[in-house]
Amino acid sequence: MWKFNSIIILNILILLPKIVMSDDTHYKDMLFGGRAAGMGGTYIAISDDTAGCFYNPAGTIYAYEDSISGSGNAFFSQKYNIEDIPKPLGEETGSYERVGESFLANFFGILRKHDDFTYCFVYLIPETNSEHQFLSINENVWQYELDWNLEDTSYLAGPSLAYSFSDSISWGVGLFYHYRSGRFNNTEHTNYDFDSDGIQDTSANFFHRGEIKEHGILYKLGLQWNPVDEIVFGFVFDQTVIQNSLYTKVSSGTAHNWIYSNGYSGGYQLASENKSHRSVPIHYGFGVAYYPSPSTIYAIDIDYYSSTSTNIPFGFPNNNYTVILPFSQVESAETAEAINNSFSQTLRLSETYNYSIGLETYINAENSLSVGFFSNNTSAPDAGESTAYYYDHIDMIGLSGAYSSHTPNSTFTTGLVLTKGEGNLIVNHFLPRKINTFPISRSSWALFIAVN
Amino acid sequence: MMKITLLIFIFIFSISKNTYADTIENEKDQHFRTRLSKFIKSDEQNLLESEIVFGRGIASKLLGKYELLKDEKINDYISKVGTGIAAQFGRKPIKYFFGILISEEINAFATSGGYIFITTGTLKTLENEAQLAGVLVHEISHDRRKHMIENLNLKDTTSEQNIYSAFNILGSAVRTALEKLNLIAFQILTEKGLPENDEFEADKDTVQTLHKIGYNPYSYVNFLEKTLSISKKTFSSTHPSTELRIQKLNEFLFSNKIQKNSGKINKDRFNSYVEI
Repeated sequence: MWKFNSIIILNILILLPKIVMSDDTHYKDMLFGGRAAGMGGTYIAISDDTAGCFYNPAGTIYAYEDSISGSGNAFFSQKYNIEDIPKPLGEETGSYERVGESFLANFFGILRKHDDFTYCFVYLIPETNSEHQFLSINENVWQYELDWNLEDTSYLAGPSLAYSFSDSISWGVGLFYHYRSGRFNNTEHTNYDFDSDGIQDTSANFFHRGEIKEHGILYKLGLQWNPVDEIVFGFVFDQTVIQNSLYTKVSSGTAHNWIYSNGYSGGYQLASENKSHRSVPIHYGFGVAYYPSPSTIYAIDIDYYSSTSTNIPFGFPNNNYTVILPFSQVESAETAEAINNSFSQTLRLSETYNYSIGLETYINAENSLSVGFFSNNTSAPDAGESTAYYYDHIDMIGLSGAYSSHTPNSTFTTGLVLTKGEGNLIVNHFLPRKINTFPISRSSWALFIAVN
Repeated sequence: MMKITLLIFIFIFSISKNTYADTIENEKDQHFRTRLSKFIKSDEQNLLESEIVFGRGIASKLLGKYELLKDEKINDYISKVGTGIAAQFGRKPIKYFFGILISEEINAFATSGGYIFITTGTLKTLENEAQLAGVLVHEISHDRRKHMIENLNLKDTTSEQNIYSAFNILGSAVRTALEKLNLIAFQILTEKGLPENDEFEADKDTVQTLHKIGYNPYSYVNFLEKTLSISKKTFSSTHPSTELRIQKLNEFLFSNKIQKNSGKINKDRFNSYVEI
């Protein structure tokens, strides 16, 4: 039994990127804009260029001139590493690593200035995951093969407007259409030696396919106020309201053991469709920027994300499963239903804070550097605080830096964003009921370029 | 990562403390949000500023030779007519200045960089506003086409041989060389004159522009004819054969089928302002 559960756990762990796919527990996964990304996204009290149309529309009133801007991750790579995964045989444990890579143009914006107001139109990708992996493990006692394909991207596009009340106060408003589209499919094949006689006598095959579609509106309000020269306070408030969503998942598996008479042979097929809307936290941001000279800016941002008012589907929701044929360990469909009901397949997100600091300095009028440090904390609950089937709990930190080359009419920026975090993968077992935690680390790096 | 972050911040911070020294002093009154990169000037801006400074130097030489007429009424009038023409025909970044030099010589000057002068002798010869406009357009055309800069072989904006590099190299090395350059330009204006082709180009611009902005283009031809008739004295020794210019202009006007009575001349208004 233990061995069989190990296979199931392994299967769960291998499927961890489902969590990645719907990483709704981190809110600062991707930075965009040139200067903004270089300063670690510390931009609420700055926002004086096209990227500011999204960070804080109020700041765009201070844009120097009309501009068109685009930026992209020339290369984006992220890595998950899960440790101490139990292997099917013995007490041995191992680690599993998954890598995702992508090239992505994630920001485009147009800014126009008038006497007392500025308007923009921006398109951006705040989050994306793209993974295509073929994994083959052969350790004699067990073999494992995985073909994994995942694409999940959120898009935002829309206008923003900034208006200047006076020389020291401006406000801004933005209305952005939210669209999210994702899908994954994977097949797995496992062979292992159930009776430890050196012959692989058991096999398990799994197929999973899922899709996610979301339509919604992100509305954002912003304010900037400089009570004295050189110091600017910025405030933003925003929330995404999902108007229409569809989550579907199909999963099937078969397993065969042909050694013992009390072995098992069976399969299952699960299908779910859920149209309930995901609830997105309300975001409040506060920033301070200090402009001691035309060559330097120091900035600090604090972002607060509320806990969600309702439980949200975690990953691809598992409710409404139709259990056709469970494994032999699950004695009946009724038992499966009972298990399904006893474990929440949703995850309540906690309130979360993120912090960032940024610095921009000019070497001379034509060249400048920026650097930023930021947190990307998780809103996922600690182990024991949720009965969701499995989820990760990783608090991330990030470091960014950029170099900008300026001409009278344009700015070219290139830089690097590094993130790193360690935490736990939390698995709520149902056979028997217990909580397992596995050390998990996550890291990413992105090389970005921007033209303004 | 914390240690790396700290080290990077310290490094950047140490750089940032010194960079303001590079800031241009006279830009300190900018809004505190204005970044250093906004003080970068394009090659075109640098060229333009150098040209204005250069033209101002030549203008000062002209003012050393001729006295400036201090008659507010006429000056205002000339400025209004000139500014109106410059708004339509002049170079947009240039702010044009119009002055009247006390001299019986029939001449007008464009020093480059937007400084335009006309002599009292010329004003006495003019009969109406259309002719005045013609003379001013002619000089603005020299400025617009950068004839002076071209003749000093300083027009090429893509090579080292332009007025900006000359101005800056000379400015830092041998200031007197710039003074010589100014002197050559001054001699071109007052003695040698610009090449014939430059004058023909400016004449052609003149009648085209007069027609375009509603003045009678033949008025300018009439003015040239009048200068020709004034006691064997041509318009200026710095201009090519006036007969040839008149002939070319008439051919141009005829070929473009421009009516002789087209456009206004504003004689009364001219006479009400110009009393010398």
